[in-house]
Amino acid sequence: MAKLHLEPWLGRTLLASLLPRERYGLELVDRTEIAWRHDNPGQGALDEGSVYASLRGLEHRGLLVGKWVKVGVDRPRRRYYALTPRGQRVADRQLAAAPGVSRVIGGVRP
Amino acid sequence: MSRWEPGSEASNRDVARSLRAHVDRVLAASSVPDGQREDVSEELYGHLYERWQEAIATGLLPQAAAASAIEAFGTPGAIGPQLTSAYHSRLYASTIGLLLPTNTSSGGVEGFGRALVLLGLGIVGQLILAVALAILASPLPAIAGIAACLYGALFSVLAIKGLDRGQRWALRFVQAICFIDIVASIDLAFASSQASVLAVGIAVAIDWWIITGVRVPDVSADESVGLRRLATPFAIASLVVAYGVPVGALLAPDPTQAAAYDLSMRVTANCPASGPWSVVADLRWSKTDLFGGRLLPVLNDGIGLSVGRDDDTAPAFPGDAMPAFDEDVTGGDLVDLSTGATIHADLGPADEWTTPTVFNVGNRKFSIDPTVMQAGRTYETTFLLDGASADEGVVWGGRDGRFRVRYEHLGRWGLEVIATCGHTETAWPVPLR
Repeated sequence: MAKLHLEPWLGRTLLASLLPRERYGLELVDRTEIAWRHDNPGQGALDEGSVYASLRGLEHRGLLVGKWVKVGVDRPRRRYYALTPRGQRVADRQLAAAPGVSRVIGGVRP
Repeated sequence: MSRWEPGSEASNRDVARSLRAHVDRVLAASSVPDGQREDVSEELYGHLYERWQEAIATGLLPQAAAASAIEAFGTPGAIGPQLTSAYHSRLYASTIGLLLPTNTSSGGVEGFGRALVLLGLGIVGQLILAVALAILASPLPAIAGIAACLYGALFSVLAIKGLDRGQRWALRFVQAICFIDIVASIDLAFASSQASVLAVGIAVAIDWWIITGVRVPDVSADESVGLRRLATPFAIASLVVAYGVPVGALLAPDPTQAAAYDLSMRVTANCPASGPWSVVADLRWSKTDLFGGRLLPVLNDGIGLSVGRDDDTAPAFPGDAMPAFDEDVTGGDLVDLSTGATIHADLGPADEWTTPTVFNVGNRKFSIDPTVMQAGRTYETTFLLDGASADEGVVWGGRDGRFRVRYEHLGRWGLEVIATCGHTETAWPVPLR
């Protein structure tokens, strides 16, 4: 997938992934990879670092908010992401326009 | 914010360091704001650490597990620009973001102060050059040259920031400036007999002192990824533009402006036996200036005609007979022979060029607005030499007197003709100064 198309694809996928609840980076990477294989069969693997770049971009634009959570001694902290009210509206609109995204990544409201 | 470090096992610490080094390389290839760098670094490192642990759990050795995690994460050249795009516009990410990646902890730049002085002087020089262009050059080259000067000044500011961040392209930029300065100094020494060998030597020594004294830490690996490979060629190209365009604007011919061969000037000297003498000049343009004047009308050289006696062949003045020719020449207004319309010319004293040393009889310059001239038309002007007649031939060189007429165009080029009584001559281009 061309870089120009990768960014919006990642944005849509990550917003949809966060609709049910907040998630941390690695968790989102795993879900995004599932959607990547579904939407781009035959293409190479997605660079996992791209997910973090996209998360930071969405946060910078005010669609997500991140917070650090300590998960144990001798382990790095995890950064959890949640939708802001604005991000929620954008994710809802995107899901309404492309409901298939929800099935692929399991982004169903609880 | 403190960074999490792994357990106490030495091998694990080595792997953790390699993971951390990869994160640093990714950040060095990006332009994440300094205030976010630590935060992003911790998150990316945490990801690599968890992937590493997962790979070990599948049976891989620690080193192989780390390599697997790093490979899946992506290269600095791929992820760095994406991180830049997260915080900046696409335009910034593809330009300044490539030149000013996130500050690295690679240590200070040796000789930074020297480079700062050089770049600071360069910025001042560019601004002075921009003002000179506005005063001296014709409008279009002036605008292009000023834009290049401002671009050069801004790029020098970028170079200062880049050097502060240990970027090799900024070092090459500084070295290229020194190299150009050395070549220009040596060229000046050969071209000008007045250039002081001592001054040229000092300039070369200072440049060499900067070239050999400024060093950046070895971050070349960071500049070998993705579009960042173009940073150094782009910096050198910017330098060429910043200095080449303004110099070209001053020296190269401007196709939007008329040149000496675009004006045909024919001059006739009339010396009747009775009545005043006169010099008549016909000007016909094949092309006129697209934009007249200059951006800053500081210099008042305009265009103008001057007339005076050509003293090369005139007899010496007897006693105190030196006439006040400045007060004796009138006329100068142009008449458009196609329409009969008159174009007013301002009478004024001749300037340096229109007062050649051979004019030991006074002269006048008639300044004309160049923007009213139209190509394909003939304009005629008549200088009345009051008081000149056959009876006063001694003053004007006698019936065979010769008159020198000069035309100057905005200080750029000039024509000259020597007309003798009763003859019509065509002017030819001559150097202005």
